[in-house]
Amino acid sequence: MDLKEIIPLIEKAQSGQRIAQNQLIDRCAKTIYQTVYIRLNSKMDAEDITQDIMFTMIQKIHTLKQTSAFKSWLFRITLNKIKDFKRKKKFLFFIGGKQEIEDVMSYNSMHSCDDQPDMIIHRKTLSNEFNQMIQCLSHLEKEIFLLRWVDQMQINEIAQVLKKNENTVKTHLYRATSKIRKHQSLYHLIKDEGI
Amino acid sequence: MKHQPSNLNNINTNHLSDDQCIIALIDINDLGDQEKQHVTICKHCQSQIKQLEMNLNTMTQKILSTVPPSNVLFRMDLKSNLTQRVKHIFSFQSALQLKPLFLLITLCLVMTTVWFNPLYDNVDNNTVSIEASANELAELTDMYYMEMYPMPSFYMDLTGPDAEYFDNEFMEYVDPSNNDGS
Repeated sequence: MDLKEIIPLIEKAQSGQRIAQNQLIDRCAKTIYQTVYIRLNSKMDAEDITQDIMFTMIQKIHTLKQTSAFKSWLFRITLNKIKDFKRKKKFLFFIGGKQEIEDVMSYNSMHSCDDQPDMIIHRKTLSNEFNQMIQCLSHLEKEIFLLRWVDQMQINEIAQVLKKNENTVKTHLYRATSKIRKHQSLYHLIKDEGI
Repeated sequence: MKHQPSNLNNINTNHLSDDQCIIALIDINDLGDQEKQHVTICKHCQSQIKQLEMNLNTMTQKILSTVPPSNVLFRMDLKSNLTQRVKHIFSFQSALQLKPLFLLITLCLVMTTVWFNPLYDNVDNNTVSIEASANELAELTDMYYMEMYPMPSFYMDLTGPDAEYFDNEFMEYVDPSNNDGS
């Protein structure tokens, strides 16, 4: 998601041009889908939430005053949607069939039409190792770590997304990176050659 | 462990620690002046920082490779089906899997609703007996009127002068034994 290329599209989308809006969605959807998937580990949920985020993005894009802050604005929407979804999921777990929901989530997280079974297992193993690795982090540390190293955001952008001071972000990022560096799973992940 | 950097007379000759490498990776300006100068010159420390960065980038690539490709075309006019999934909890299948706690809460709610229902409070023995006696009185009144004013009974002479007004079908219905209609 290159901001320089996107800015003209944002301005057109703000003026209500439908083609520009769809182009903007095309540019952002993949990044947002990846961001959501990494946090939820469910393909079906990630697709649903990405669609929801894209819908909200276009609906509220006229409220964006600085086009340069588009990325942090979009990520803030994304994180809020994920938070809402997790809250809803807790409610579903409380009153609904937990086992059924978990089964569906597990199946969807692994399944893709073109995948071979060994590829699915490899993907699942990597994902489990990564999740195990970030378990040692607090909620804020995890969020900052993912935004910085997985979503490749800058410190000032993370500060905007989370509405925190830059120094606070740096401190949490330092702690998170330090913990992850000491974690054995990191070296398993890096050395893993894949299939 | 430490490799001493060459040509360093006025600046810190110690290499960066692991923690300082992380700080340098996050923001090099957060290092002290001496460490900053050291990093600009020392290739060992530069390679340490670069190695850490590479490890994290490799980790990112590995993690992103676990994301399955999405075949969905995201569009403005498509709404998510989240609401459909929320509706699913009211389906029969889900009803079978209700949790005991939820059932208990539902039971408590129902009992509380019944207990504090204002209609439930108003019904006492007097009200019941008054209603019962009123119903009984109404029934007796009906019976009395039925006896006093019975339904009038009258007879129709089918063979009299008005018989011509009845057609054959009616006569067969009234008296099936009389086939000629007379």
